[in-house]
Amino acid sequence: MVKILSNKFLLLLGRIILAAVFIFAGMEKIINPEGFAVSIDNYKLLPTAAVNIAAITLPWIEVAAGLLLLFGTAVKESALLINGMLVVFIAAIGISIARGLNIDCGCFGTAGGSQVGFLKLLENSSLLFIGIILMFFGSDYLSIEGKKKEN
Amino acid sequence: MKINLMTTLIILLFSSVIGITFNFFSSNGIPLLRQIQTVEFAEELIIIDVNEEMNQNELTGAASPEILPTEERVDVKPVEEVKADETSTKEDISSEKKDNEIKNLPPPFSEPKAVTLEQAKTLYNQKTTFIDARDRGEYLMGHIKAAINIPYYGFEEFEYQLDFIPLNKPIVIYCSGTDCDLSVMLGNKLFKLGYSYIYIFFGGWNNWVENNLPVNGGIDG
Repeated sequence: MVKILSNKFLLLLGRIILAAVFIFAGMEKIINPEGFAVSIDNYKLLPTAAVNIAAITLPWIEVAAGLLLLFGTAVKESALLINGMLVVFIAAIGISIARGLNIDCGCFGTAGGSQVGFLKLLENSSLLFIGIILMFFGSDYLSIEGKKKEN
Repeated sequence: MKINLMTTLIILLFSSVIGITFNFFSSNGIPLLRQIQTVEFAEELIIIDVNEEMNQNELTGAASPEILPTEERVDVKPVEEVKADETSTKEDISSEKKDNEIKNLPPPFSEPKAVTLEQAKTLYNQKTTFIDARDRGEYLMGHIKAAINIPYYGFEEFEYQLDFIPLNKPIVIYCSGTDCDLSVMLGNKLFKLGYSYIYIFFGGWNNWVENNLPVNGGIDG
């Protein structure tokens, strides 16, 4: 099992998937910070005053972590950040489902908005699974860190 | 699993600083601290004289969208006319302003206003247009009687129904209840499109049903 999970091609695929999702999601939120702020506010989990700070910084953390994953620099650290965000997202979606909130998940900013639900939980859990594998095994294949080690 | 927490912290701080700096210079930038947005409750209701509306409809041959089957609604307005409407939105808005003066309507709202159940009932009895902002599935399972469905998600697909609602006509928008935000988001959207009298019924579908008020259930009601 460990051999399969630590397969360099699978880890590379995981890196690309996580990077693509987080870069795209982050960019969409950067384009429309107000829309993302409204989405965060709708969860009613953060104090109103803190909503904009989260809406301003979170997308850039997503993009930065995504880019680092894509280029294979600080893979484990980027995966840790992404996993941290995913845990928060999963908790927020879970609480919203439990409270019966009928709100936009805000997952991809304004692009393809969809409501919170079990499908979103499943999506985020799948991404978290990939992130945990990357955090444990790292991924040197076709990466800047890998090139450094070769030299 | 060897993770450098310092590197993680640096990524976190560096990207946050870039985000704050970008936001500061961006034209789409937002304030660092969010102000609490509240929708004020309406003190007085704007009610259009139903008899006058009916007479106008008879004269122009127009009919309320609620009572028209979907196919007919699509065919009522030719495509050329719709395109002409799009190009002359500003003219429409100015003519609406003139209409307001003619009909002695109060000045347009500065923002959508909230209404209580009692106020919503009054508006309903005056045949004010009710818009259900929930998705199509929820609408088909049950909605306020005669309400039309313009889901916030999928707005473009159902937007054509707005062709039948003048900009100076009061509109009541609702969704599931106090915990949903679709009515507010749709209200803000319609307000930006030029609708002057937008009411948000926060109690929504749940509050309406709890009070045994008229509803339609099923596809055809």
